[in-house]
Amino acid sequence: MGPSKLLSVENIPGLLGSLLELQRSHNGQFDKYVSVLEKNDLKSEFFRAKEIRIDPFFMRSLIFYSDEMYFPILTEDQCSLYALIENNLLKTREGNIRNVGVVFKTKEGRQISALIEKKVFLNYVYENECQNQKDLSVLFSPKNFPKTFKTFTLSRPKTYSACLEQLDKVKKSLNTPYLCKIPKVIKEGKIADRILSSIGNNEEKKMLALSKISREKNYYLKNTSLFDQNYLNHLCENLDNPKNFCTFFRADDAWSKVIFGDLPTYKLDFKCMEYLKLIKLPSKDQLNLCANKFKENPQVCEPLNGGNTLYPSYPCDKLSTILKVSHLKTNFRDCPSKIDNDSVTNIYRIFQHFYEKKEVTTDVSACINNSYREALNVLARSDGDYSNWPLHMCFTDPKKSKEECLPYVPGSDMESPVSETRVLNQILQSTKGASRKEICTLVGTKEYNPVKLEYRNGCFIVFDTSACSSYYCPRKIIYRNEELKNIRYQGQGTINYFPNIPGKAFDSAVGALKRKLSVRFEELRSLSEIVRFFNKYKKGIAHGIGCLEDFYPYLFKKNALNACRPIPFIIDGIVKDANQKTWMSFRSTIDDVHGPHLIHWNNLFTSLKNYEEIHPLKTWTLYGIEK
Amino acid sequence: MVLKNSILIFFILFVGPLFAQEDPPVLFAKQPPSYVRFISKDGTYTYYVTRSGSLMLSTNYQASEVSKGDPGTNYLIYASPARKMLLFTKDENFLDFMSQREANTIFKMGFGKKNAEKIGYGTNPKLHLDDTWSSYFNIQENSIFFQNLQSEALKFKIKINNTINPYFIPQVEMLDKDTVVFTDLSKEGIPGVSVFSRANKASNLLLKGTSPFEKIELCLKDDNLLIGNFGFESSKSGTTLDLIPIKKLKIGNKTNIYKSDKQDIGNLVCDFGKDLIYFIKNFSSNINQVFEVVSFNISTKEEKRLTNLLNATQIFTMDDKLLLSAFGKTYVLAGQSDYQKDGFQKEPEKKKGKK
Repeated sequence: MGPSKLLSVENIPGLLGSLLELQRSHNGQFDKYVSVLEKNDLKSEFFRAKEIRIDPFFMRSLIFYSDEMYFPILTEDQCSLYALIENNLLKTREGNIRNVGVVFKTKEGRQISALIEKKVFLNYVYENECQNQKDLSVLFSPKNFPKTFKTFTLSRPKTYSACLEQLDKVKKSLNTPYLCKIPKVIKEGKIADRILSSIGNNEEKKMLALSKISREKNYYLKNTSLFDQNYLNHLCENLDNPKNFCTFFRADDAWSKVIFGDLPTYKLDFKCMEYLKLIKLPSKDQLNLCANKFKENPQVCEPLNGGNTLYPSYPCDKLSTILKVSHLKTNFRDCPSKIDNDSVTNIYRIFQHFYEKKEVTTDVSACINNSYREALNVLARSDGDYSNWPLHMCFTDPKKSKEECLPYVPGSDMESPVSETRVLNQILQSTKGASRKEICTLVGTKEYNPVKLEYRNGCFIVFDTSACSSYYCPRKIIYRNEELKNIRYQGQGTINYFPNIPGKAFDSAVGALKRKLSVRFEELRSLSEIVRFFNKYKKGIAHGIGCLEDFYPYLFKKNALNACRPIPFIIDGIVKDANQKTWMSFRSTIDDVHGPHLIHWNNLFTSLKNYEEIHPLKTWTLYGIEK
Repeated sequence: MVLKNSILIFFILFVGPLFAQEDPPVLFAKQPPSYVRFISKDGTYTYYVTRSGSLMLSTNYQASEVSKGDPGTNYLIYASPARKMLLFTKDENFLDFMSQREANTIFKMGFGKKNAEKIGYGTNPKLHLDDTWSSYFNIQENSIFFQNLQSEALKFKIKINNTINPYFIPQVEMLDKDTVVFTDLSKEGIPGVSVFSRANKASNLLLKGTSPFEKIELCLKDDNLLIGNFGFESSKSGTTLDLIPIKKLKIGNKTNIYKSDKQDIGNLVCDFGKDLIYFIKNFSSNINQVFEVVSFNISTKEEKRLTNLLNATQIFTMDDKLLLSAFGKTYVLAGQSDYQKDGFQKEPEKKKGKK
């Protein structure tokens, strides 16, 4: 049966008929076409056939139902069409193609239409007409994909004309259908995940099909980078729109650079988390959403200060300028105003730069615990030797009949063996025979009420919030309704950041940082030395202490002679503005770790010099750190 | 034409600076400048700190201890033109505990005296109403505390609204013993000025800023409240200075006395010289960042540039002196600078090679 016999001319609307009518009419005809052809098994005839081509009617369905963004890949060479079919980039009325409608001449010279299984069809045409495509099909098969993909270097074009050239090459490349399959599978896999989370267990068949799609998505996510995924998505969506494709690549902001993998995702992750009010790291779609929002409306970044740092933050465009050069590794959140100990905040930030320990938490107590835990580790003279740590809990050990003092970090960090509640439990085990599970609860005096049932038993560390300062907070220990006066807290959260007393360099935080992180310090005395340091050490950072009022003269005023509120800071890059003025990317410990500021050398110098003047050792406190 | 321009550029770049203002003199005292905390206008009283952690009063070649602390303890002294009382903060962990929300112990003592008395814990202490009242802010409690300096029993506090900026410190002025004006931040971080009435135990908003990217400063100038609104460096808010008569404290009675499109730093000084106020003005261009001290006559609106240091950012008064802190030095913009009566000659100031 020839194709013309299936379709009567009067059933086809004329040129003036609407596209919708045309499609409606096509649908009916296609269903008829399929039901008729499915009855005929012409596989054996097909293998002996001559002059095989896609049925024009089937082709019409492809044109109606396929996403036209892939059409620019089509060339005069039929092989590109076959590759699009192979990679499920074309569709018919039925959706993804299972069978291909073909027209061929039999051995006897009859011209007939048939539906041939996609795999069978492709094997045949690749074998006979498209040898190159056959090889590519093997190379891009799941087994070989990772190795094959590694041979591709997807790069950002450097100029607009280079970009246009690149797109033109891509359109002609036989690889493109295989590459465009990747973003499509990822997109479909995400939809499958959403459906999977909502369907019931009784729809087993559907679940199996969706799980397969989801697995395929995971496979590509695993074997491609964020840059690859975004690049390919953007490429395949803009094959027919060179202007759109290349304009996007000209974006020079930090947010686009993160999306394209040129900058680490943590530069956007945490701002995006705060903007979208997420409690975990944003998904790739959410990152894209944030990047677009931050570009469209720079003001949205102003209120994003991490919740407990100086307010307001810079607008997104200014932040983007700094983040492009800033290289402090900030794959974590911290909470300076909750820690209220600037040395701990800065030590933790420096530690994270060299150790890159990912910490994502929106919980304030966990945030405090993380900073204290790592600061304690840095300050420990060696593993387990915490004699340099200022906070201790002292008690009389009944076995040894002498007072013993154990280091602790404030709070109830269950991950840390030296958290306050765990140390207290250890003491209670040896002095009161408490069980390991009897962990004390920290509670404010206003909340603690021994009359209430919940406070009658158990262990409580009761602190008076109105008497607590940021470095000293007296507490009572109530164990089974009895105040334990033989356990006492010793020390305050004092840390010598730089050596303050002659000859005590070993015990300062900088001494501990040198030891623990095996880093080298270099004194930086001028702007040119800072610039040279950052040019030489691409991963280096600089740290120091200066006077707060000189860093932020528009926020903090001096009202007395020799006033200076010392504050540690980190500098991690050089920014040249449009007028070639030099600025530094700067974070003091009251700045959001994800919201650096710009600082001018004049302010930095004044701040350092004023601190040096009032320091008893007249110490210059700006050092580069490199490993 | 080209030659004319070249000559002009030559003059601007090379000859101009020769006629530029000289740096102001640096404060000199018998003690190292970094140890001094207060010198009275005639030099009769000098308060200074020691390495051993004490605050000392030196008068008439006699030194006596005002307060004792551990080595490294720091003190700051706050005075007012009334010259009746002094307030000082004592920070016992100045070197080994850094926290911008830390509360220090605050003491009061008679002007030129050494008997100190603790009045509370906080930051930014200030004398008011002819030295009869003091105020200070406690960040942990988010409250401004007021303490009468003659009677310990007279005290009150104002809890401010700010919850958005954990490092905000309000500006405070007492208009009389029952009325206080202070700055605060809204939920969105927009600054405002509130008036607190002790009688009503309530605050009313006097005025509100327009964006979180500005700060409001307050000070009293004769019978007026001066309100400075300074846009931050990253904003385009510019600067305004307005006066409101204290007796007619309504926003409708506000008179503008100064306006600039540039973001001045501010840091207003209002208690030095008749009709004069001082602040840090922004003279920056596309090429250079320049901040200098200016005096501004609120009657004649005459403005005078007082410095040529490029980066003058912090000014304050100490008895009869208007001081500027920059590059590790204390410059004297007005008043006596040399208190080494039996000492050596003041060293000539070096040119700006120091930066």
